[in-house]
Amino acid sequence: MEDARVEEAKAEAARIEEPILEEERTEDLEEIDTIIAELEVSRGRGNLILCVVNAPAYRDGIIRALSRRFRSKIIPVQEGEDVIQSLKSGDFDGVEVLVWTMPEKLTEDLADALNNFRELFYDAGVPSLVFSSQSFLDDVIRRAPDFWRYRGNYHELKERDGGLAFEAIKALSTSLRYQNKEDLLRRKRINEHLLEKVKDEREAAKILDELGQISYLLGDYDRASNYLKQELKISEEIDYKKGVASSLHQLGMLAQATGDLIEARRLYGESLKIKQDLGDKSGVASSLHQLGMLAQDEGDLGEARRLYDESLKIKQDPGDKSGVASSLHQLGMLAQDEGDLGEARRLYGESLKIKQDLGDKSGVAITLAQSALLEEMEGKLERSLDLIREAEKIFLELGSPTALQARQDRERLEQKVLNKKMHE
Amino acid sequence: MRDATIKAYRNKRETIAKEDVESALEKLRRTYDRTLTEAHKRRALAIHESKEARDLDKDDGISRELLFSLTAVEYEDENGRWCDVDPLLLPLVEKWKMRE
Repeated sequence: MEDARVEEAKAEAARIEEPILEEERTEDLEEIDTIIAELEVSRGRGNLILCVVNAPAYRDGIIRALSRRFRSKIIPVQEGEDVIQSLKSGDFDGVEVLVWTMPEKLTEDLADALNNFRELFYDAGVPSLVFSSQSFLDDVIRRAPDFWRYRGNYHELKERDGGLAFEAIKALSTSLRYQNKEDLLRRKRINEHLLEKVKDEREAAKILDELGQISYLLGDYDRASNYLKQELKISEEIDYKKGVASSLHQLGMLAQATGDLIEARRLYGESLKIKQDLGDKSGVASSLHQLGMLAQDEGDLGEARRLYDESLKIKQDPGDKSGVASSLHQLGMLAQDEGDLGEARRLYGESLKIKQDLGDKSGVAITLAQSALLEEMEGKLERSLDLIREAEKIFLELGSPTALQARQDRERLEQKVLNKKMHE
Repeated sequence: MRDATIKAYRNKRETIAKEDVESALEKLRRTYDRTLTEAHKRRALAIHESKEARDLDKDDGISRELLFSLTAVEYEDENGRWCDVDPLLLPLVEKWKMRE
């Protein structure tokens, strides 16, 4: 009876806390969506949009996401001359957005360049999106007021939990399969209950591992981190190497999700070494997969391909169908990044078929959503909209934080389809 | 206005809603409130009271900075030239007054 009350209280707590997390994530997503809308209406015209983001890793994540939607030229700025030369060069053929990243401090030379050459941002004929820290913007208002007055909109991002949700949808290497959000919450409650009862430390580590994965999938990164750190501590104490490797791997995924790519690489590397010592082929493949995603995030597409291929080769040996589907999805994204859209379509198709056969709903939704972006790139807007609607429906059923991203994509596509019809 | 317009556009509204304008204004006020130093705020209050924006001496650039950053604006009408805090920021003036 007491257990039932505890379960009920935990379920209630879960119901209360989820909307709060969602609201925090939504603020930034809505701001990013506004930036996208503004870039859409500014196509082919000069505009000067300022965007405040403090953490460089978070900023880079947003830039990567935007670059998948707009052909972008990224211009890192250190001094005023970088701004003047880039704007005067007029070398913007095929570029849809100029993305400027400002240094930490506004030097006098840079303030002068922004003030005196502000009109060139509009003459460029391409919208400019200028990223800076909060303190840089504060300095701009005081010391480069002409530039400040000349701006279009400005946006402030808060970079709270799960802020990288706007990344392109990736096939993460997780082993948890579930049917819907209720299923995930039910497993969360069961595991929490078991954790209180369990006496064996190895079993406790396994439960913490699953709780870490569930929290990650629900977008509750702080809680996921707590569970995984506990798992790591226990596993180290009892010399349970598989637990150490698994917790390090998942902590790496958390670091990656929050934009700390250096820490993610370190954690994946440590995990990989343990898995290799244990002869855990499936684990090794999983680490290589995540390292491939890191390389892709950092723009090293050659290294990403090498790692995905290596991971895929290992997965094909023991017939790890789910892992193979994941690798095919990532290789599809790589082909898409490289502009080989036909190959991307083929790989997504193969990945989707395997996931459908396995009943892997989360995997199916991820590949459908990514296929929607591919169709959009090819101008097939109606098809793209159908796919993203299907993906959003599944993400909502699963209670996945990615549902927010799918919703944004769906709304954007609906607007595009409407615009297209009005012009026909 | 641009901020409110783009928000209305994003929310698929044909007209700009009051909440779009309020949210844009609130962001602008928050930014100025954070950016301005105490010296700027004191001078902005003085400008609001006196309707004049003058620096104290050649080393003092505070009034000039307020005018350049559009915290304060200059008007010209039948009464001649006069200055005040940007009307959009007047709620901040009330807030700063209460802290004085």
